[in-house]
Amino acid sequence: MLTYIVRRILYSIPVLFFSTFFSFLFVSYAGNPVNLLRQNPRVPQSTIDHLIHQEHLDMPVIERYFYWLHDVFTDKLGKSLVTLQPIWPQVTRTMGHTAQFIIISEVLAIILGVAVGIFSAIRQYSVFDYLFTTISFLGFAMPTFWLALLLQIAFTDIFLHYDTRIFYTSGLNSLPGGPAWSWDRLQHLALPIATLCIISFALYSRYMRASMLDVINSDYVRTARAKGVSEWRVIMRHVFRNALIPITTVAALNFGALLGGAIVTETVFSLDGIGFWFVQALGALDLYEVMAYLFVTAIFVVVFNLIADILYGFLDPRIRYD
Amino acid sequence: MPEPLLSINDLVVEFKTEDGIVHAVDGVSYELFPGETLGIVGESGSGKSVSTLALLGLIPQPPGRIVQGTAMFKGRDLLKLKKRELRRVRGNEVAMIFQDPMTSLNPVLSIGSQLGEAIKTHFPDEKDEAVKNRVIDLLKLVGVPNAETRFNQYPHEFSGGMRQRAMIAMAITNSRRC
Amino acid sequence: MAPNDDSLFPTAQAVEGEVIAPEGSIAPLVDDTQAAGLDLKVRSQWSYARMRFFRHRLALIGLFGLVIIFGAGIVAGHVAPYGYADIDLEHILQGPTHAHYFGTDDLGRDQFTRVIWGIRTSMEVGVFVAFVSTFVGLVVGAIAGYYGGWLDNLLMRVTDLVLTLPLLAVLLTATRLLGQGSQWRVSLILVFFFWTGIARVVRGIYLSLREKEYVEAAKASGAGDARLMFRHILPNTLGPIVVNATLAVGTAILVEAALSFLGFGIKPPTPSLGVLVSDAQRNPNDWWLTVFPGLAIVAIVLCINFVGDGLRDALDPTQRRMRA
Repeated sequence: MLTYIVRRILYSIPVLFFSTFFSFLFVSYAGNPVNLLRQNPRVPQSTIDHLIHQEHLDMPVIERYFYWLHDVFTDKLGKSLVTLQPIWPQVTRTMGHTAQFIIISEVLAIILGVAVGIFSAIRQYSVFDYLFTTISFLGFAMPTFWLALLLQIAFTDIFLHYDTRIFYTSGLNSLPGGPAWSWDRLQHLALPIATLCIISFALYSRYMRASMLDVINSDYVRTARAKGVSEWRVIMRHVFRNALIPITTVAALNFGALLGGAIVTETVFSLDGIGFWFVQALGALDLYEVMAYLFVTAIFVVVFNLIADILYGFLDPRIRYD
Repeated sequence: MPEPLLSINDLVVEFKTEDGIVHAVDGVSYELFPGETLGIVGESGSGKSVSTLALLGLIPQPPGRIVQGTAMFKGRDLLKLKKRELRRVRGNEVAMIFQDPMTSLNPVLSIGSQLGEAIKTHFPDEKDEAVKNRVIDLLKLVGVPNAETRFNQYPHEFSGGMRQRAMIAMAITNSRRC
Repeated sequence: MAPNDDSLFPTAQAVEGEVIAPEGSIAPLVDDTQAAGLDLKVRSQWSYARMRFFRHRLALIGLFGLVIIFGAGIVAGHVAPYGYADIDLEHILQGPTHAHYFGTDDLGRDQFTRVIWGIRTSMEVGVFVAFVSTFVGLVVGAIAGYYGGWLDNLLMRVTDLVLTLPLLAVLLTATRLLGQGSQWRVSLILVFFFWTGIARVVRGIYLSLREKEYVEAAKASGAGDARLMFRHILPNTLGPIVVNATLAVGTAILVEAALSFLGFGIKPPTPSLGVLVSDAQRNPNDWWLTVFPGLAIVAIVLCINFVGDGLRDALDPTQRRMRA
């Protein structure tokens, strides 16, 4: 098991290296930072020259990549070329907020999705099943940004008409810099969480249902029944554990989509998260900030996939001895 | 003239498919006497498996349906038993060894725990130690080498032949004779 | 069973008491069986697939919906009651009325017209991306899966790279830098990332079928690589590919809408449902401006998913379904 984990980690490093390398090449090629600075009339020539020298912008792209990489580790992701401010504090602040609401959404979505999936499979073709199948199909077809907007409009409407705030429709706290774990924060995050949760829930409930049906009809479940095991134990001990295995893969694959959903949701609800920060940076063509985002999120995706792989190995003994 | 142990009479099992009703078993009758071994032969699709699975209530209904027939075993009709009573018969008085050992064993549970389950389902008061010993003895009986180590292994670590033996062991755990 | 060049699926399959075989090959058998008074149904694979698809009620509803919606998009110029850019300052920000089914925006433009044109763009983007990325993915996946070795390894590493980064972020970056708001540039960028999905599926199929007996048999009778790849293995990929491509249309539409909503995808004057929603945020409380474009997207993708589901039922041979 340990060798399996170590091998996965070692494999991730070159993948990370290459994906950031190609991103850097692409981003630098498409938008030369020097040109952008020159376009900005407020930046004096001396600053530009100083910056070019300091950030090695007159060097070939490949060398610049390694300077950037060096900055990543020594200077904590370096400084933005546009705001000239250090990037790292931005990243830590925004990533914390994003992580908070993504994790809550995902955990909720998995728990609810798995539960509904199990029940839908056991009571196949029942009203419950049809209802949640419909909900899932709608979840798959809805753009995340639109769902977010609908919720925002609905609750803004309620506030305007009935003068009561149930959930807030923008921002992280009523006062900027408010506490992260407070009732106020929860009220602000409720709608973003609901948005992401509904979209992910559709995925998990569907896959869990399909997985359960697949397992329920398998031979080894028939064997368990033939031994006289009670139906309850058959479901809990034999069906459930096997049905859960593909869900870890689904969750891992969904992580990238989740980050994308965060980008959109944070934009709609004006949350100070890393997705919103990224969109701003991209709009301003702040290349180092864009690279910082891609780098940080790539690491998270790799880590998350690793966790999912480990979990998979834990659930399914067949792959442990690969 | 001894009494038959198992007496099947005019068993009919049908399945509802997309193209209408398929009569998988159409009026099968036979008797099995104590100490006898009965071999049922037939072409693919003749209903051998279905008729046997029906005895233990292992045919999913729907889409299957036992239309008619009786299966007398020790004075009771297996086909009319309530779920709870049927569960007591399964793996205890009547056991089944399945054809495909590859797919008939749960891949995420150890062989030991699956065989142990066969015992603990019907004798829940047995101590774990006793169950483990019994399982190891059974594995030895069917010819699985290194039974003590094999106890904790998973089905994918067994060869096809060993898996088949494990299935046989699982079926005879609660037999009074072994 | 030796491959039959006249059929698309080389071998006969037995499914739940039926025999599916190339038409004409087992006619004598059927005659005998029926003469003996037994019931036997024989169908070719295509009619079996067709039958399964049409049994699927949702798929039919989806197909019907798509015909209507895409049909409207295709003949947008004739169906739309007003011009896309027609300004009518007398009737700004009106809710849905008889004259304006979807209401008007802050310049008095008819939303129904704008949504229909937006549907047309979405349709073009979706179909283009699905079609081209499927083609590219098919070619790459076939070559990688068939030849294996370092070629296959290379492909896998490349697709891994694509998967490491969150898709939307990468697409946003790409369209911001290269898209320039053009519908076709954005579509090409989407193709660039979408082909990897199909390539993996196709590669898997080629890898697994490469070793099968009928391929060996064909090789033994002198078939070259190209013939094997196209005549013998390719037909087996058609099922998953068709399903994948259909669903890709929906995914492409959703992604383009998100990109355009954030301002980095398609930009005016080209119509786009995503832009309509983002424009609507100037007047967030006029709900019809946000709701209708989004509803159009939901309707399209829902119908596509229904059809894709039906196709999967009909075409994917790995599915075993017991109907109650």
